[in-house]
This record gives sequence, C-alpha cells and structure tokens, in this order.
Amino acid sequence: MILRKEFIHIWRDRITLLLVLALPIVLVLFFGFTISTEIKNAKISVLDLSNDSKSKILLNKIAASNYFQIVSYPNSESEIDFDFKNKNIKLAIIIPSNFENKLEVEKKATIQVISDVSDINVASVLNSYFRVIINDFLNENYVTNSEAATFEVITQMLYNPEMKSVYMFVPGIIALIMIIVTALMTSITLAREKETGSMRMLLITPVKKVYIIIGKIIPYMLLSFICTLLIIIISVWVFNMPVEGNLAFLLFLCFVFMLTSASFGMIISALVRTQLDAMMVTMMGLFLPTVLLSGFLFPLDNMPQLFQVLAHFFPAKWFIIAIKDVMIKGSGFMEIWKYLLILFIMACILITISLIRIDKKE
Amino acid sequence: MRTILMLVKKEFLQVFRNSLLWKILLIAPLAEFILFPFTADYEIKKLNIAFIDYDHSTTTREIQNEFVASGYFVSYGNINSQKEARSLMQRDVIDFIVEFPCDFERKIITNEYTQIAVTANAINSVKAGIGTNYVQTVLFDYISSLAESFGVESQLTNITITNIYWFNEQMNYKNLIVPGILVILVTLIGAYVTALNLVREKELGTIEQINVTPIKKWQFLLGKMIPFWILGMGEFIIGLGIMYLVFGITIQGSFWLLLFATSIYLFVMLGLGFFISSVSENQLQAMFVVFFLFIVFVLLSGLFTPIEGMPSWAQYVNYLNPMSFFMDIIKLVILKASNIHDIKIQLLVLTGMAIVINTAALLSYREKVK
Repeated sequence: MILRKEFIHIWRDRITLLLVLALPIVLVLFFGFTISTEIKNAKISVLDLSNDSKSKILLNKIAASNYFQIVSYPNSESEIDFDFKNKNIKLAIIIPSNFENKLEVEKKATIQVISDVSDINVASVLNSYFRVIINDFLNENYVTNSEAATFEVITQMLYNPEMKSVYMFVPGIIALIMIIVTALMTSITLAREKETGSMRMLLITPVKKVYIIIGKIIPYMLLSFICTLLIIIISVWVFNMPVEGNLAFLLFLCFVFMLTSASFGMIISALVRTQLDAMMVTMMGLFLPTVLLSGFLFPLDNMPQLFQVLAHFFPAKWFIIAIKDVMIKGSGFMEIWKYLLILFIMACILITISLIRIDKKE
Repeated sequence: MRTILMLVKKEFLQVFRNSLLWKILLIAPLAEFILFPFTADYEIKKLNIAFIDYDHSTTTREIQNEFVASGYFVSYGNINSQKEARSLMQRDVIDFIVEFPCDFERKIITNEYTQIAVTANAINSVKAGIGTNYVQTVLFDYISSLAESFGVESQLTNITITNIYWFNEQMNYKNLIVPGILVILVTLIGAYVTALNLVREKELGTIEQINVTPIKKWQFLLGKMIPFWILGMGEFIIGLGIMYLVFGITIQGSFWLLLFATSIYLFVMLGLGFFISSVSENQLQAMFVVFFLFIVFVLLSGLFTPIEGMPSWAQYVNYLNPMSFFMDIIKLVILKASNIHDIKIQLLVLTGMAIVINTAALLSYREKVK
C-alpha cells in the first residue's frame, strides 16, 4: 500500500520524474563530450620583435596548428598584460629580435613564453604543445636535430587506448546519481511527510514503522536503478565503454551501493525536520564530500593524510574502485569482495541506527 | 519601504528561529570552504612509476633519478618483467611503466636509433595524458643534456624556451580552486535557499495569507530577496577572509570591485531561485531543477576542466551560464588584478541577466496569483 502510494506520488510529479531521468543522461553526455585534456584553439598573443622571414614561418606554423589561435599581436610587454586580462589568452610568446640571424649565425635563439598558470594543468599542457611545435620547426628548417632522429619514446595507453574521459567519469556519475536519487530523494520525501504532518497520520495507522520506511525507500531505489541502467546503456552505446566483467555482477554491485546510499538517506531524514534541512544536510554532508573525496574528480593520493582517512567513511570511494575494476578490468567477485563487504556493513550499521532513532522518537 | 523592512525582519526571524537552518546556512558552507581546497587538488603529481631496465647502465640509473627529481614521480623501483608490471598496474599500484631496452646507453652515445617504451594506465585519461607529457619532458631533457655533454648538440641549431609564469608564481593549485569554491558556495546559497523558500510557503499555505494582505508582489519578492542577499554577501566576505587567513591568497585587484560584482551575481542567482520556485509545485521539484542547472553551470564554468577543451557547442551554451562570467570576474580580479574596465563586459552581461531573470520571476509569480 505504502509502496503504491509512493509510486503514485512519483508518477504525479512528472516534471521531477523527467528531471531525475534526464540528469544522468545529461551528466554522462556532458562529461563525455566536454572533458578532455586535449586543448584546442587556445588563445595566444605573439610579440614578434624580429619580424623576419624565419619568425614568420614559425608564426604560420603556430597558427596552422589546431592547438593555438593567435588573437593579437601586441607591441610591448605591457600590452601583453592587457591581453591576459581582456582577451583571455593563455600564453604569450615573445620572439627575440634578429631571430633569423641568431638561428643562422649563433645557432641559438631563446623564445620567451609567458603562461597564465592560474590553471596549472592547462599551462603545462600548452607548454608541451608549444615545445612540439618548436621541435617540428627546427626539424623542418634545420635538418640537424639528431636527438629526434635517434631517440623515440613509444607510449602505450593501457586499458583505455583512445584516452576517453568517460572511462574515468562513468563510475563516478553512477555513484553520484545513486546518491542523489536514493539518499537525497528519500530523505526529502520522508522530511516532507514530517513537515506537512502526514507522517503522523501514517504512524497512527496500524502499519509498522519499518514498513512505512521501506515502502518509502523502495520506489526510489527502483528509480535509481533505472538511472544506473540508463547511464550504462549510454556509456556503452555512445562512448563504446567496455563492460569487461559480468553484467549481472555489475548490477548486483550497484544494488549493494544503492542500499548503502538509501541507508544514508534514512539516517538523514531521521535527524531533520524540514525538507530544506534534509536537502542541505544531504548536499553538504554527503553529496559534496562524495564529489570531492571519492577520488573520481580529484586523485586521493594528492590529499593530506587526514582527508585520505576521511574518505574511507564515504561509501562512494569503495564503490568507485569496485565498479571500475569490474567494468574496465573485468574483475570478478574474488577481487572485489572486500569492497562489497564494506558497503554492506555500512548499510547495516546505518539502517540499525536510524531504526532505533525512529523508534525512540515516537 | 516599511513593508519591505517588515518582510525582511520576518525572513530573518524565520532563519534564526530554525536553529538547524541557521547552522546549515552559515557554518556548514564555511567549514566546507576551509576543508575542501585541501582535497580538490587535481594537479597531476605523485605519479607512481616503475622501471623495467634491461640495460642496467649508469645512464638508465641516472634517468630514473631524474624522474624522482622532477617532483612529479614517485619511483616504485625496478621490476623484472612486463608481466609483473602489468599485474602491478592491474592492482593500481603503479601508473606508468618505463622500459629501457638493452644497449640503451651505448646506442645513445653512438647516436644510434633506440626506443623507450612507456606504458600508462589510461583509465584516468587526464592523468595519463599529462603524465605522458611529463615522462617525455624528463626523457628529452635528460637525453639532450647528455648529448650536449658529449658535444653532439653543439653543432646544431637550437631554440631554448624560457618559461615565465604569471598570476600564480608559486604554481599553487589552491590559487585557482579556492576562489572557484567560493563561487560555488555563493551560488548554492543564492539559488538553493531562495528556490526552496518560496515553494515552502506555497506548500505550507502561508503564501495565501500573504497574498490576501495589501503587500504588493514586488515588495514581497524584494522582502524575500534582501535577507538572502545580505546572507550571501556576508558569507562571501567571510569567505574572502578565510581565503586570506587560511590559504594566504590576497586579492590582487580591488576589494570593492569584487563586492560590487558579487552583489550583481547574487541578484542573478536569487532571481533564478525565485523564478524556479514560482514555477515549481513542490520543494522536491524546485530542488531538482536548481540542482540540474547548478551541475551544468559548474561543469561549464571551466573550474574543473578548461573551457578551451570543450566542443564549440558547449562553449556557446556557456554564454548563457552566469557562473562562467562570474568565475571569470573572480579569477581576473583576485588573481590578475584586473580593474573595472577589464571586466566591464562580464559585469554588463550579469546585470542584463539579473534584470531579465528577476522580471521573469516577478511576472510568473503574478501570473500564479491570478
């Protein structure tokens, strides 16, 4: 009965339902298409102090590459500052005077590159692009660069040869969506019943409290399961993401994680009174830490020890490690049983605590 | 005017009466703000690297030391076979494998062709991509310095690149991420709280009571906005204080300009919150709409991934993203000491957005009441 009531609630609120289903799709497409380390058409300025034939060849080479787009030719260093602030350039290149002469007579020239390192990764990627262009320029114009001829680095990208960013993000997105749908939505709907007083009406009925709670949670678990399936379908279909491991096992793993995040939703709703509180607590206490501490956006190794320890307490970390292993490396039960156990224990503890709390309250 | 003041007072009373809300609004965001920059370090460093060395020469050993010295790599040491390396990578113990062939040193010295095989764990494509760049830089730098010491290079034409780093000389990722997180917090406070606030009155039915009073619609909206605007500004100022005291980031540009820009941005976000809450039917719905927009805003804002790396359609969508303009302003003023002329376009766009969205909110609210 409670189950049916909740389904009717969800079905009646079509807009929310639509959004809940659209969110994973949008997230996967966004992450898949917008995130790449390959930077194209970065805006740069060039201050060419020599303006001779060789510097022109170099500039043409830079302009012809897909990486850079020369947006201005300042006349002095102070104008470079202006470009950084107004034209959003990432690099400024200063070619010295007598460039051609220096190259041909002194055999040595120095190019200055000013980078905007407010984003360090962008700056380092652009700098290495620029180095490649310079090497090419030397090879084409002065056929002498022996190092390039005798020495080669052969790179192999294991597990993800095409360097697709989805490999990295799909597990994280599945985790986030499940937290949003199961934890956030259950905590909010439970809080809503409290806020509008209908919880009291439910409680005076002969239905057991536990059934009320379970009845409220199951529909959202189903919903988040559908979302997870959607994410997996899109990532396989649009981005050709592999599912190396057993699909049924993968879904079982998702189910365990769902249980854990639903138990988080329960405990939060047991603590708060209004929907706003429920939402803020879930956002600040569960969602944001999950984004930051699960290791899917930011590498855990870089964090101070304290945070690495803290990360153990958020289920998403374990889930993401496990799902990555199953999807990409094809691990089975034997390799990831530890993570499953951790998630399961977390769920058990939280459900017990919240049931005790609910019992006490009434 | 008095009506508005009364409404502002009412709203403040409501916020402070609800002790939990008060904590959530003020303390939680600031605590997160202090903690999160420590976690949000997406600078690629501490890459675990293992070597398969078939050459066992001085050169290969020196190269291994170079890797550690570069500061980007942590050496796992030598391993014996490709198979062992693969199994280490499978367990995520190492990120990169560098394999030196036999006779590597001799071939380098005699200028013969040789190869170095680099294997990267590419599940995290960002890490693999940037890491491979680092690997190559270390190798090329070492080999060319070696060649130079043997006198091979001196005959060749060479171009040296000197790098100058602006706006973040210490190369500290926090200088970017801290202002970025501040923007996210201001947005959360602005859009979320207001979006839920109005719907709540609707759900509880108190809005009907207000509708029958002689309070005008715009007075009501303004009365709702001002308290949250003050809260948001307060939070922003405290955030700036934390930014300086905890992270040592000083505002290079004008403090007042920053406040001015933030006050406009807050009006955009508050207006957006009210617009959403006047069109949605319940809090869950309002929350989801805001959440949806929020995620899209953050992803497109360029904080986590460079805007230049996005496809052009995404860059066009970004013109509708107020957070992206505000992020620009924050970066420019805090890190690059920009003045009002440098950011006038962004300011104008935000003002335009504020006017449009607030008008829309007022109109849709009026519509609803009729």
